[in-house]
Amino acid sequence: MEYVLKTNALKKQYRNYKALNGLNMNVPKGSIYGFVGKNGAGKTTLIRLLCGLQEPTDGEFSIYGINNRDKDIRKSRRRIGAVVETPSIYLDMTAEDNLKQQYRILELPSYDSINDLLRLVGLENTGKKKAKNFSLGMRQRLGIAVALSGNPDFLILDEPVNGLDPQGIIEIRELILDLNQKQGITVLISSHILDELARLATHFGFIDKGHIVKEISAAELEAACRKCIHLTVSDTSILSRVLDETGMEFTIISNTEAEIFGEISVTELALKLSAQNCEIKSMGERDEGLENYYINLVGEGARRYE
Amino acid sequence: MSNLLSANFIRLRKNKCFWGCFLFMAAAAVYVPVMRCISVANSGYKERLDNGFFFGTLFVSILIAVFCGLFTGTEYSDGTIRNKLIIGHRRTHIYFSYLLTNVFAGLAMQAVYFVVFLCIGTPLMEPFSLNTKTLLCFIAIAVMLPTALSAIFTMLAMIISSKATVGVICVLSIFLMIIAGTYINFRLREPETYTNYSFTPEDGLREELEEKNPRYLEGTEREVYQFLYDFLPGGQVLQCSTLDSKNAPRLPVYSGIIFIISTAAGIIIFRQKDIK
Repeated sequence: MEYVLKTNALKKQYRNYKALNGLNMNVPKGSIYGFVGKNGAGKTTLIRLLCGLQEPTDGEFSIYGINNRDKDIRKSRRRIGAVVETPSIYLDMTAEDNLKQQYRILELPSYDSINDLLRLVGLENTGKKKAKNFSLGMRQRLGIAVALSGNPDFLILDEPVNGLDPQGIIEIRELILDLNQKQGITVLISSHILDELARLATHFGFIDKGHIVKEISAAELEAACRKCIHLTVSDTSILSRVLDETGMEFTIISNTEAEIFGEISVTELALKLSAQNCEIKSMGERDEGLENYYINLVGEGARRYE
Repeated sequence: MSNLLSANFIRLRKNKCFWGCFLFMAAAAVYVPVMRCISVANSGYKERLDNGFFFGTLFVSILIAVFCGLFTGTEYSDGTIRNKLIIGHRRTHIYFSYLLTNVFAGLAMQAVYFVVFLCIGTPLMEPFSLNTKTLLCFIAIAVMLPTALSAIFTMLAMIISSKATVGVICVLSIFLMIIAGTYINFRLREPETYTNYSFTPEDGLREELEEKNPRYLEGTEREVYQFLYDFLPGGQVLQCSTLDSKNAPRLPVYSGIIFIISTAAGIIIFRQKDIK
């Protein structure tokens, strides 16, 4: 597999605080890599190192195979577009002027593609409106447009949907999927919003206390996440007796609620419970999902944080 | 680096703070000669161009502090400095692009004062009384001083990430420099002796005694004060504005040294700075 980004025992220390503590991660080419971790886990610190805003204390990383200590790292950074925390835009300029500034510092020969870029992020009708008068979602989209100015192959987005309304979240999601699927841009995206990441990412990296706890593809995650049937019954003691007889794996949640893992015959179960005067009040399929997987992986600390 | 400079100059062209400072300098260059002429209008005496031509140095020193803090500080407050780093520009190039833009802005403000002052002052006032050599020397001071101040304020703006903090620090610094310069000038102007009068109550006779002034600076101490007055920008501002300098040819050299030291220090710190 070809990797856009590889890090090896990467460390970053601020005085006595270790923000990154031997981080190893691999971002495959063409993927949408969801970077999951709680506040202070080291997500933004890693992004700052990748973008050249800060230098690692120890360890190394490579972008498109070029090591961070190599002077050619600047060339490989030319292939990166990034939005770190807040969008980097001049608030007293229009969307078009912001892009012109970025085109100039990139030394792009013409402004012809600016309109296409504005159309791509849905800001083509902002005219002379200055960025300071934009909504949060518009600023975020302008930040992404600035990041896309040099036609990057690798897009790094740090919390891109933070503070956005539902419509804004959908727009950003569609934009990211479009960039990845139609233009083949590899995306590294960090977010707290796990449901949102689950809809986007093809790969996941779970970070805790400055190091990667687990890297997993979306397919592997789906396989690892157990599906279960959630039941509400009149008496879980009868349910547990019936399930013991059938040899099913289950968890009793309360006197009336339980979860059953694995494939079950609903008719057979209903008939057996009915024979023992136990009524099924509701039944539904539940997916363990990214959130539970993350909490199981990182532990109770994450549950408290969530 | 040319593309960074080009981007900065385009931003400068649309920058309200720059144009505000520029227009202030132009207005000051009209106000100063006109008011000077009005004040002596009834005396029959005619002012010379010397009086007020270099006042602009005082104004420009304060305006550069405001401008550098706001213009460069915006790069941190809006986060746009990150765009330049992310795409692989060298930190040294980024630093120099801001330095050169700030120096240009400072010199443009100084230049507009000179040009407007000459346009208004020449028909109203007598020609310069200074000889060409002295005049050129003060022009050199008036050019080098804003350059040195731009270097100091660029250094502050590049190492302090908060726009509000750097704005306040830059403005406070220039006022502190001018206050320090005024204090040093005051100490240097202390008379060596002062006259002490004593009266005899019986016959009412007055006796005058020349006594040594204990605050008069002598020897090495005086040399140190004089050096600080010449070296520090606050002292240079006063000397240039009042055309009163003992060591005028040295001042542009001192400004050059300040420029080099502050730029070197700024680059060293900025290269190691963790940017958020």
